[in-house]
Amino acid sequence: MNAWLRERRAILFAAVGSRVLVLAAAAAAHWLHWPKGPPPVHGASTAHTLSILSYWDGVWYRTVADQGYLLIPGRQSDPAFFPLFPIILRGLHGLGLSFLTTGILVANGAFVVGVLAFYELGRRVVPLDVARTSAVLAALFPMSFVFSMTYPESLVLAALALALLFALNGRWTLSAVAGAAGALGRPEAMFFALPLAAIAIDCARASGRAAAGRAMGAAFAPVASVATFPLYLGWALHNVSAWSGAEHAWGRSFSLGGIAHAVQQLHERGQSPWLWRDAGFCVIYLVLLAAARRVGIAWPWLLAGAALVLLPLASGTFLSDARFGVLALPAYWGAGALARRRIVRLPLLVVSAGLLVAGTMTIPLATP
Amino acid sequence: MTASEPPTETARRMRVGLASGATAAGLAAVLAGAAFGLQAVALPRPTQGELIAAKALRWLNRQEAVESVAVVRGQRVSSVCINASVGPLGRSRHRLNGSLLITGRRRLVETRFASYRLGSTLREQDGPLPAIRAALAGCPRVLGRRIGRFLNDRAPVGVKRVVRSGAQLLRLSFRLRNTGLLLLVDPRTLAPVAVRIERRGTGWSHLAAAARDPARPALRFSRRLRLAVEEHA
Repeated sequence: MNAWLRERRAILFAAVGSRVLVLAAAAAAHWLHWPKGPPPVHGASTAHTLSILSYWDGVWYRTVADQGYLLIPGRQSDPAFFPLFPIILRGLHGLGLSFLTTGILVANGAFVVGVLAFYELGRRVVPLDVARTSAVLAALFPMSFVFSMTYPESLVLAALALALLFALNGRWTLSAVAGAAGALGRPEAMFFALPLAAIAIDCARASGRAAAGRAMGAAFAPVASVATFPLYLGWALHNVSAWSGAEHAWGRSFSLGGIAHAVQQLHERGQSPWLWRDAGFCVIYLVLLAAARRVGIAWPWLLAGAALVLLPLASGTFLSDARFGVLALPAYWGAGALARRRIVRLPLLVVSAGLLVAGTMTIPLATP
Repeated sequence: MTASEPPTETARRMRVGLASGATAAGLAAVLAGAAFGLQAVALPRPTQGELIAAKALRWLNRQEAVESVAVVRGQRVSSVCINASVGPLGRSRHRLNGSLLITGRRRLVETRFASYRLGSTLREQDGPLPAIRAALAGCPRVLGRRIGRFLNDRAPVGVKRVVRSGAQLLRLSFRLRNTGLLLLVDPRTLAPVAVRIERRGTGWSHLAAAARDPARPALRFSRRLRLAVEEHA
C-alpha cells in the first residue's frame, strides 16, 4: 500500500494541491470583495467564504436536490440539469450537512479520485512519463476550477476514468456501473461509449465471445443511462420532452448551421468578451486532441473527445465550451505529450496554476 | 460462414451470438432500471398544483392575444391584450418583447423593464399599477411572467375544485411572501379562465383566447408609433 502511494505521491500532491489553490483563491475573492461582478444568480448565497464555488449552475443543482425537477414552459428551468449530482447532494444533506458544504466536499473529493483514476488509465494507454505529466496537467488545467464548483464535472471525470480503466482490466460489470453513473451526471459522458465499444470489440477478438456480452453491455450502459432521464421526467413531470424543452429555453437547441452561428456570435455587438475565453479553449482542446494522436491514442477516444468539444457548438454558441471540454480526457494526454520535455513542462505548469487561480477568482464575472 | 462449415458450428456461433446480445441488453437494461429507480426514489416530485400551473403557463405561452372582462366600480370593462414587440426605446438598441393592452380608447405598452402609455407618443408610466393591469387583463407575457416567477421560486401552489356559474373549475392559489395570485383554470384544457391578484383588492378578471384582428380600429396607430410598437404576426 505504501509503495502504491509512494509511486502516486506526485499525482496526489498535484490533485490535492490544485484544490487547495482553488479553494484559497475562492476564499480570497470573497474576503477581498474582488472582482465585483454582476449580482449572482437569484438564490445563490454570498455569505459563505466559498460561496462563489456555488454560483451559476450550482444554484440549479441545489434546487433540484432540494425540491426536484419542474419544467417551467418558456423560461429557464432545471430539467436541463442531469440528476446524479443533485441525488448525491440530497443524500448527504440528509445527514445534516448544508448543500454548499456537501457540494464542495463531493466535487473536490471526486476530483482527487478522478485524477488518480485518470493517471491509472493513462498508464494503460500512453507511456508512463506522459501519463504522469498528463495527470498533473489535468489537476492544474486552467479551467479545472470547475471541478471544485458545486457542479457534477468532477464526479463525471472520476466515473469516466474508472469506467474506461475497468474496461481495460476486463471488469465489465464495474465498467458498466461507472459508465452509467457518469452518464447520469452529464449526458456528454455518453460519447465515451465509443472507446468503451472499441475496448469491448478488442476484448471479444482476443478472448473469444465469452466476455463479449458483458463488454458490449458496458459500452451500451452510458447510453441506456442517459435514456432514463427523459423517461424519469416523463414519469415525474408527465412530459418526456421536458429535458429538450428546458434545453431550448437555455438556448441549447441544435441546428446544422449552429457552428457557423457560434463563430458569427463572437463578432456580434454587445456579446460578452468572455465568449472568447470559451472559443480559445475550444481551439486549445482541438490542438491537444491532435497532439494526443501523436502518442498513439486511438480514433474512438479522439472522436469522443472531439464530440464533447464540438457538439455543443451546434447550439449556436461557444458559451461554456471551455467547461464542457474539461471532460475530453484524451486532450490531457495531448498536453502531456507536448510537455514531455522539462523545459516546456515547468513553465506550462506555472502558467496553468496562475490561470487556474485567475479563473477561480473571476467566477463571479462570467458563467464557466 | 463458409460452405465447408458444419451446421452444428453455425448453430453454435448463433447461440453464442444470441447469448452475448442478450447479456449485453440485459446488463444495460438492469443498469437503466437501477438508474431510473434511483431518480424515482431519491428525488422529490413536483406537486399536482405545480404541474397544473406549468400546463396553464404553457397554454398562455401559446396565445398571441387574450380578451378579458372585469368589473371595476360596478362597470364591465373589456380589454384585449396582444403580444407585441417594442423599441428601440431609450438606451436599448434592440426591440423588446412586450404586450399591447387595449382598454376602450386607452392603450398601454408593457415590457419586462417599463410600462408606457400610448397616446400620440409613448409616455413611460411609473409604479406597479400598469403591470398589474396587464396581468389582470391576461396579457400572455405579463401573466406568464408572474406565474413563471412563482414557479421559479417554488412558491406553494394550492389546488381546489370549485364551481363557478355551473362550471367545474380548478382554483390555483400562488402565494410568496406578501404577493399572491389566484387563477381559475378549465380542468380539461388547463387554460386560465379567470385571474385575481390578492391583496390588491381586485375582483376576478375573466379571460378567453382572442382572435387576432389587425383591422380592429383600436390597433390603428400613427406611422411613428407603428415603428415603435409592432404586433406579432
